[in-house]
Amino acid sequence: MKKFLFLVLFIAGQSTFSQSQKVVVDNDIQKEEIEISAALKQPEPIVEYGDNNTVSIYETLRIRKSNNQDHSIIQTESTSTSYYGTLKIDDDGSGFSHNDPNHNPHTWWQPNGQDLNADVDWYVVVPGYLQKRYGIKPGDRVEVTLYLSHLDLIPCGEPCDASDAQGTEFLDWYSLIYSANVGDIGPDDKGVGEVSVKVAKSMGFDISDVEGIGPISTWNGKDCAPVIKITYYPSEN
Amino acid sequence: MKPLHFIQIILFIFLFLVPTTKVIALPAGYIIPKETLSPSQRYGFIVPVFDATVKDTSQFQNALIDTKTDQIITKVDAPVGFDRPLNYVSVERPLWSKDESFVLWKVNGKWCPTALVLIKLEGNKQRWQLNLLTAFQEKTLSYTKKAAPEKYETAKKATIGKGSSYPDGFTIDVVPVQSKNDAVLKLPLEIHVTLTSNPKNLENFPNLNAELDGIVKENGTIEVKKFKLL
Repeated sequence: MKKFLFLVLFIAGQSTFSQSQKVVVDNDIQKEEIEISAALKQPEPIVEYGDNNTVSIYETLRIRKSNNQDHSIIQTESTSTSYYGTLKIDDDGSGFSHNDPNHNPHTWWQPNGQDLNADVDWYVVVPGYLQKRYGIKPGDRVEVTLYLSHLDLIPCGEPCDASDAQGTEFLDWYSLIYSANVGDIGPDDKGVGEVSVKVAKSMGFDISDVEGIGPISTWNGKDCAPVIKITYYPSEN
Repeated sequence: MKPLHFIQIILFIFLFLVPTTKVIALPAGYIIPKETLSPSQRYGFIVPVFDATVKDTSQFQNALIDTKTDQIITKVDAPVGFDRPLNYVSVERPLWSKDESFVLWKVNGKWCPTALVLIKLEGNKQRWQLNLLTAFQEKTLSYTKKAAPEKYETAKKATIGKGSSYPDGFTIDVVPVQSKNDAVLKLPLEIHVTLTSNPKNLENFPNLNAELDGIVKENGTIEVKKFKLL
């Protein structure tokens, strides 16, 4: 009887104790370095994907994660400048609004006087401050790089904005590079990484239209906004 | 019953039945991000956990919670921010006054915040809540319309088709001047507002630009200090 009483008290105590833990989540991402054995992930064969795309394969599997802003410049050449940013989806222009409260029926680039259509046109959004800094013009060529190995590392479906890459080597062994154009302009104080619905879909993402937010990118049924690289090629004239 | 066993029972009761911390009865699917806690950790905000099955955010709300009494003090009457960034929508670390009687809640958006709310606390209860975003947007629209009625109507017509983030079609950013660098919220709070009909500087598009500066006083009243068309 005594043993039974002790057992009941013990089980009840354990149950109460487990419920008493506070539900507080630490979203601070600790700086960490991830090293993955090359043996675990072998580069896959070159894949042709989309229009006018090339594929780069690197052997380095070293990615350093940190909680930096997504404004991080990674390289500036005489003819191009590259920035990292988390993937965001633009629906501005003549196409469907995708339930986006920020939908604007006009795009910055209007070839032949016509607004672009985010559902069919390959374009990216240049932040206002970058446009001013480099004199980027509507229609300038860009390259969008998606790192597939990085995509694997990001726990999609979890907060995944923290993998930005300032000061990192950020070399991936497998990436897809897409050609597009600067089609729209964004706010001065926001980071890069916004692409048209068409570009996101071509990269393999599905699009979920959320009332109050707009279109978000999903991967295998979960929301996912990986870091992408955008390389701008400002025209001289 | 032997005295030793009795003491053991009492010890068990204290060790296991008396909770070491209080249980927070959060609504299902909500969390309290650490960065939303007040400096004393007495208060925090609950945010919903996003998943890709969500199709409408209007069913969710953020709320201020008293972590000591486990009670929701008030719901934030503004569009919701989730536990992760979604496009440009992300919860910013709330700004607390030194005595934690005021808190500024902000959810970032693309061209302007989606939520900018000042909450006044008194005796662990909400005294009032002021939606600074809509209040200053309405003030700026009113001043602009009065200063340039014809240009206002022309610009308004040209912006037809824009989403709900653009009141009357205008892009109106409301910025708490103090919160950029300061870690502590101080009242009166300075606010800077910029209005434009043409945020992308499109050619052959009606241009109407304005600026407004104002303050929010400790009693929740708003005072416009300066307005000008640009």
